[in-house]
Amino acid sequence: MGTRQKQDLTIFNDNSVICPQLLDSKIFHPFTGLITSVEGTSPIWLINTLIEELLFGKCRLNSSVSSHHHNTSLSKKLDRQVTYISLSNNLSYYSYYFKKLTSIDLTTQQDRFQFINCFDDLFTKILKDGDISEESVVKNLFETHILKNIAPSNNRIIFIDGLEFLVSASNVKPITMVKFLHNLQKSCQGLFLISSVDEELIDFAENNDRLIEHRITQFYSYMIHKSNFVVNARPLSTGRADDISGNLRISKGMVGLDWLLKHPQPNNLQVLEKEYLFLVKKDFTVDLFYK
Amino acid sequence: MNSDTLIIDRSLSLKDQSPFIIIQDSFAQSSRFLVDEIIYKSASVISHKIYLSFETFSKPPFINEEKDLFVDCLGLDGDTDQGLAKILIPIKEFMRKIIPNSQLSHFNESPKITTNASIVETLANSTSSDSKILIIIDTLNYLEGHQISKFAADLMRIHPNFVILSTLHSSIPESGSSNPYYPSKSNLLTYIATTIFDISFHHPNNSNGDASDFDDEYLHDQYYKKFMVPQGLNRPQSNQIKLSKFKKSGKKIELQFLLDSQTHEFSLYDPDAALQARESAVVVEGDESLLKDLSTFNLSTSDKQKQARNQVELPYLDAQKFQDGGAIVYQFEKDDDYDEEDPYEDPF
Repeated sequence: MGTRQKQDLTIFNDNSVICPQLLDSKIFHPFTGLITSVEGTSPIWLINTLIEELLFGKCRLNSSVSSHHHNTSLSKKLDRQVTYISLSNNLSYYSYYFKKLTSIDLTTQQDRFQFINCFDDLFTKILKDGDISEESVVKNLFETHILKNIAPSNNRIIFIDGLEFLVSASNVKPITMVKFLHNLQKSCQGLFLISSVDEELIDFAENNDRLIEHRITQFYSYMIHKSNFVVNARPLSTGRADDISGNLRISKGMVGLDWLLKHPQPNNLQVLEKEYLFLVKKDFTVDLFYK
Repeated sequence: MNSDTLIIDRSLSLKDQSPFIIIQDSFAQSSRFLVDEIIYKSASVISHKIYLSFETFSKPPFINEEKDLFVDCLGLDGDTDQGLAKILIPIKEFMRKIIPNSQLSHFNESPKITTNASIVETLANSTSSDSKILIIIDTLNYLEGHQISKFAADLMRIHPNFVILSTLHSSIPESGSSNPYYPSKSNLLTYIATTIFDISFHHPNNSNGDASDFDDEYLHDQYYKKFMVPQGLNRPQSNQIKLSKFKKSGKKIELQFLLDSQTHEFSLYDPDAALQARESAVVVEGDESLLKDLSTFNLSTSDKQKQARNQVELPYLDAQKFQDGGAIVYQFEKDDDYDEEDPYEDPF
């Protein structure tokens, strides 16, 4: 792979990772992006890149300068808030990798980075007495623990990671989770759904709503039909390789960006469909190559 | 314009009497392109639009702030029976607003109108306008089968000029009903709907025999097994649509067409002919490519030669003209020695 040229990550046709126009609430309604991965191909580097891009307006992944110089170039602060809700890890996990990637400590960015931990105490404190009924999840987790702690803002971008875990760990229905996402999106200008896909559980032929296969497949499908763009991170289909960690595919979602426009005006912003190969190196930096 | 294209054109511009239209789409090609096209083509017959949204709370750009109505149905718990009743309230209020002043005053003068049913009746009777009101429902997937039929009936009772345009995503699995004999949503909708548009992805190069990675098997494998979204889907120029129209007489009309929602042009589509063309194109291309650059002689066949070859009537085609099974067709030649008295000589 050494001879191949390293590429920048772009999601939109203006060659941006996150188009500034899309973050402008005067032009666009809130967007929905879906990031899926499978076990063994963690998209943590991609999540950190997106957070970095949102908070600092540029990311190290797309920078050709050395990390020392880059640190200073990141000093520009934007008036954006990032809220990260996680059901799969705690803050120390994300901040560890964020620091490796950017040399910046996320825990010192509390004025604009909010972390809502739904991982550590989910079945002990958040869902009191381990009550996994739908009413308990809606009231204690969705409303009290998450929605009440997020102040609505047009400058806010929300990431929610591992929501599909509730499909198997509680009695909440997929449609109730979609309703929660619907309400969550009202507090922000953009929502990133980060989901781990277990291919063994995908079964479109099953219609028994007591079975996890049906519930999880229905949840994934609802999410994809809501999304404006989809990013799939998968391992190589040919097996493990030393010089490639996985495959990253960026595709359009079911809802075109033109439907997000607040006013009927011509706008050429589109999702730039691309497929990359990515390599996560030992120092946690990442190289991208066109496929 | 022939009768088929006229039917398609009238269906897209909502000039036909068809109050309940369903669009069935999938992850590969969204119904939104067709909704855009119908709104564009029906602009002259539609006076107002009502957008009932379950998938988003964002008002689409074609919904005018003053003229049209947007209802965030999921925000009103529209997936429940109580929520569905709540959705009807803003629609009725909106109808009160848009009724012309004279009719509205007539409505206000009536002191006895207090119940919803009587309001509905008065509104229905008070309008004489021919213009239609388009109700767009972004998805019916969030409703149960029995809720759909009741909701559609409740909407239709509000105003006789309502045209409901609703999407059902076929790539979202449906939960089984508590009654195992109750029909699935797509089955049920074939009874309720007056027009059904079945929309699928049409690869622009299909007619050239280049199915590339977009054949059904590939798409199926990517989405239904891996939950990955292939690239190149959901294009405005890739609408392959099957139109099913149900007439009052019980007659069903089925037509297939391709639609480019960017240029607003459509053309009839024959999937069998397209498949045949694709297969023959593949065979011919395969033969020709083998002969190419093989020698200095011209081994390829020109279009004129191919046409002449196709026109040659082969002897076995004559044999197929007999309807009573197999037959031997024998043409005597001048050197044949035929003995009329020999029974074994007769080829028949």
